[in-house]
Amino acid sequence: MCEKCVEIHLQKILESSRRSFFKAGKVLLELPTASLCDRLSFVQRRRYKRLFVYPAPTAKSSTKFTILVRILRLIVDNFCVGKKATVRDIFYQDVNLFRTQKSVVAAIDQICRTLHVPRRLLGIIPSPNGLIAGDLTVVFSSGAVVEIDRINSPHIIPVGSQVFHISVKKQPKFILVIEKEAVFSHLCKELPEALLVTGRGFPDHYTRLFLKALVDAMPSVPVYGLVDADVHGILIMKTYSLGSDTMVEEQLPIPQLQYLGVSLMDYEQGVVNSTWRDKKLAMSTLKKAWIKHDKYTKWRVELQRGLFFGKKAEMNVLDAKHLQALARYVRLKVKPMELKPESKIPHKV
Amino acid sequence: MATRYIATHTVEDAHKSDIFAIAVGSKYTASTAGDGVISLWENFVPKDPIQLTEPRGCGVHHIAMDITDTFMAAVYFDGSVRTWSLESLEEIVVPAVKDIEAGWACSIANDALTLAVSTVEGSVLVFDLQKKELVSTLKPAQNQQAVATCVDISSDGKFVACGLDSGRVHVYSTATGRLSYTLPCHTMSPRAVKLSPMNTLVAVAGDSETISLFTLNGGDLIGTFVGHDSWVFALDWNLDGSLLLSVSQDGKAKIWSIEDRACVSTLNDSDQPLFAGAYIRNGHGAQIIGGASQGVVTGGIDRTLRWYREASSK
Repeated sequence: MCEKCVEIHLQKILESSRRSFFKAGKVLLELPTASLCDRLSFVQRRRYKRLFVYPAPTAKSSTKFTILVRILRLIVDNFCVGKKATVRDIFYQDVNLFRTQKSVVAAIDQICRTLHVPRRLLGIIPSPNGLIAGDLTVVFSSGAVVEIDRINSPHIIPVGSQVFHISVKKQPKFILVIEKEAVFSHLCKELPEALLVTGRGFPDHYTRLFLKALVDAMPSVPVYGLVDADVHGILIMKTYSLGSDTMVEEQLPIPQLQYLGVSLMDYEQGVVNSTWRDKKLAMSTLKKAWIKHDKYTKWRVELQRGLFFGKKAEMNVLDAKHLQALARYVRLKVKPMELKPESKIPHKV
Repeated sequence: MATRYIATHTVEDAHKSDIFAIAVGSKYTASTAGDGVISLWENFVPKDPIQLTEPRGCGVHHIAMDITDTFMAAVYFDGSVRTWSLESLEEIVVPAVKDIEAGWACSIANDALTLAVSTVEGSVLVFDLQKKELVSTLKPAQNQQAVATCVDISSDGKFVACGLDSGRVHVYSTATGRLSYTLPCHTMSPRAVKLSPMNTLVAVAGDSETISLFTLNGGDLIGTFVGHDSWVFALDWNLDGSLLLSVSQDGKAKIWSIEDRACVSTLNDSDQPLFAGAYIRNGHGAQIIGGASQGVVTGGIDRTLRWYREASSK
């Protein structure tokens, strides 16, 4: 199936929904569930379609309908000018309507499912969000070779087909996964012995896919996570370690990932009150089964302290002087973990 | 005048995680931690504690019991609250308490009847533990979204003081269910509020590192204690209300004389933050703290419980 087929088909869908408005006074949107290339007769195709109606019985589903139509329109527009877009690009075209990027993803997935086409054919490309710094050569199964060197770091995490092979000139001492880009770009210079990766907040599929390949290629190298001292930091760690609950894609767990910090206890200043929402989120996270596992004791203690203190701290509040200290801090934290990986929480922090 | 406090008993690794709360009654001292275990230490005999565990494995951060050891209440990290009878050591199910979704702190009056639970939404729920029902919901007039970080109910159950992380402390009358007045004392989050045993004073402490004393009748500021170098996490009065215990993030526990308005003793055996501390009445920890004196017990991040006795110089 080609992009042209999809484009023509999407235009037809939009056209027929416009016509239905004049005919029935309602907007009907038909998304056929059968694949486009199936040579179904018109009657047969009708049987398999999924019908959306506007106005819908509830405001919520009406909004959903509007989002669906808007995204179809945007996709078709992009086809017309031959533009490829990321989910984020689409989101920013109508933030007021979509409100969250999640709703865009949901609508796109719905279209993909009903049309049986991958996102790629809708002209939606993955946004390679993650960054990497280090010296390595990546060979993809397609044959493409990507050279990553520290001098030109950071590099955007390469997106391609399956990673076939990763080779390093010199084995890094550890792999450090960092939440924030600002901290990442600083540590790039300060930690030459490590391989650094950031997903810029919650990691996307490709960052996790690549990190997984990286970890699998170097099983003897420890992996540490450096995140903000708040509930989101812990949840980002969890996304790397266990995969996310919401993703339809593979889970890609990296169980080797160890929590390095930043611990709230290590801050002398820069600690702020956590919001009511943070607290609610921390409470519901502490209810989850995964965090009660012994493996996550350190994470749980951190989350409990944050909640008990009612405080949080972000790494990027650190100024230049403190950023210098951050590289030292990382080395200091890594040392005892090399001796006793994920041991019981040290009494002294 | 300085008073000496002597360390009498220490249990290292009393819990597997940070000790967040301690409550003392006549028979038991209860300690609890992020591991979700509530340990009941007998005041009279030094032996292994009775352990109450939580099947869901959630940590506990606040605990309360009345002075006669009738009831105990604990607030879990997921916001749920459980209550026990300390006579039978069985959980007593109060449906209205079970319904709480986002509890934060708790306090039981010495009438062994009334339980007050503050919530993350900023309200205080008052329960009758014998009738097993919700008596009233105390809320400030304007609905501010602040966490009710600490709560204390007066020994007779007539007043409830509740600190909000916005810095205010509200004092309610349980008889009318209305706000009596607000103490505009702190601009930073209070973490502990305690009404004196004779119901004459209110002590408030928290992130401001100072402890403020107010009259319960009117809410006038009558004194400020300065001396801690970090957040103050817990306060407790001794039996006659002449002394006040405070424990802090700086690892120190301090004893303050109300009459002298001064610190009379500093206990700095812990080099880690202390989260919890409580007074033991005269003669009540006979075997643990030794003799007929009064004493204190503290706990925190180092997971060690430390008992101290007042040196009997008088």
